[in-house]
Parts: sequence; structure tokens; C-alpha cells
Amino acid sequence: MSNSVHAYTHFVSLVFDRNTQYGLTTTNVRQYLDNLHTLSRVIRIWPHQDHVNTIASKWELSQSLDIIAQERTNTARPRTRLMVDGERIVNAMVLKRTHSDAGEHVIIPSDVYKRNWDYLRGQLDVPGSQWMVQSFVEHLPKLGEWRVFLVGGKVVYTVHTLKNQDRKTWYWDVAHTYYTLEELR
Amino acid sequence: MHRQGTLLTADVCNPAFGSVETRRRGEKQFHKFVTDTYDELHIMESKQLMARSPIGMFVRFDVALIVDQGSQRIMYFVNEVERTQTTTLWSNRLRAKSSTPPTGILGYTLAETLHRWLCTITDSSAS
Repeated sequence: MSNSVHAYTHFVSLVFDRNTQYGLTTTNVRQYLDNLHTLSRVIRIWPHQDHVNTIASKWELSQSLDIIAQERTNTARPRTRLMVDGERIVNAMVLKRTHSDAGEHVIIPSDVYKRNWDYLRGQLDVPGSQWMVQSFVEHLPKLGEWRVFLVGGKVVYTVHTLKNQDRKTWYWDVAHTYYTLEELR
Repeated sequence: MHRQGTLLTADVCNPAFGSVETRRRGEKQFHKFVTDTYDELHIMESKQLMARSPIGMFVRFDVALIVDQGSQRIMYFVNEVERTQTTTLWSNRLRAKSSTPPTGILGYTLAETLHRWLCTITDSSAS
């Protein structure tokens, strides 16, 4: 690894040792989970912490979504697998941590300074977390995503979002009308 | 209608042309994909947890487009699933194209759904 990459990696590991989104660190995350368990004995908490820890693992979720795409919706999905520590990091793949923090642990091909094992190993502070590798969907950054909000199993609203990759800003619109997939072919 | 192969140049949200029937078909395709995925995921997770999956209360599916390598057809896929209190609602209108925030309706709907959930788990006679 070059000196500049090593220096940047060290800087990033210092900054990101403290999760800036939720204030969790490698030392207080266990206490946070223990406190939530204690609290859940006296008051009702939604969603249940155990459910979130079990189900919100992106690896479990990815496997479920693969099955649903194959057996129910008959649709394609990007290929996803767990990484083996130290394996060669392929440029054209997206790296995702199994337990995310507000999108902090989704590393796209252009995030070159994060695509090394020094950085990845430094980001496994959440108990049980692992790194996954997923094939990169090249249309996604150009076409954006629809964020669909469901409450009680019903769609309440949908927002289409697009990120300006240069400015690192977002713009979005409430989705009212849709192309058919045949039109987009 | 777009010609084939124009996917990358298209603004894929809110087409303002085409017949009502075409637009309805597009909306139906999108919502069928979302609700089919939701239904199956809710069943799978509830079996796994041996309890109701929390997505029955609230969930955000992030849906994107992918080209199937075999058939070269365009398809929807779920890129992410968000389900906790920290989920971004996209309610800040600063950079939004439309000025009406839809989060008020979400709030009322969530309050009613949460109330029903609380009644269910605190009252053993409730369904």
C-alpha cells in the first residue's frame, strides 16, 4: 500500500472509530445493546432490538430477497456473497457491511481509499458484523432509486431520489406516474 | 414512448406523456413488485422470528432498475430495506422538486397502526 493511501486509511480509521451518525464506538456498542435489553423488560419498544439485530443483517436480508426474486417476482438481483478476510478486492464490486449505519458502510468502486482490508477490518465494531461483496449495478447511480414507504403493509408514498455524484447532494421528487418496464427496455 | 436502448438517457421518474392506460400499467407493475416482495418478506421474517416481523408496522423499500443478463429485460430489484426509527423520510423540501411533504399522512397512518399494534399486544382478547 502506498504511503498516501496508508495515511488516509489511518485518518479514516481515527475519524470513523466514532460513528458520527449515532455516537456509537467500538467500546460502547455492547453497553448500548445491553441497556436496550434492560429497557425492553420494563417498556415496550418497537422494533424489538433482537428482531432488528437478527433480521436487519444485510446478509440475512439479501438471502431472503434472492429467494423472493427467484420464486415470487421472477426478477433479477445483483449477486451477493460474504467476503473472506484478506481476499482480493475486485474493483467492479460494491462492498457492504452486514450491519449498516446510515449508509456509512456501503463502499462503491469510486471509494478507492476505503477499499482495503486495513479499513474494512477497522469497521467491524458492531457485534456479528461482516463484509459482503455485491455486483455493481451500473445504472443505479445514473437512474436513482424509488424509496417506497409502507405502513401497516400499505404504500403511503414513494419518493424518487437521485444523487449528484460530484456535489454529493441529493434531489428528489414524489413519484406520481411510472413508465412501464417495456418502455424502458 | 421511449425507443429501446434509451434507458440510460431517460429521467425515469414521473413521465408526463403517454396514455392513461399506459401510465396505469406502469404504476401497477411497480406496486405489484413492491407488494409481492413485501408480502413474502413479511411471511419469511415472521417465520424466522416466530413473531410478527417489524416491517408489518413500518418499512422503506429502496427499489432500483437492473438489466437481466440473460433476457436483457429491465426489471425492478430491492436494493435496501430500512425499518428502524432512524430511517430517512425524505421530508426536507429544500432540494425537492415538489413542495408538498407527504410525511403528514405517514405520521397519521403510523400513529393509527402503532395504536392497533399496542392494543393487540396488550389485550390478549384482541385479534
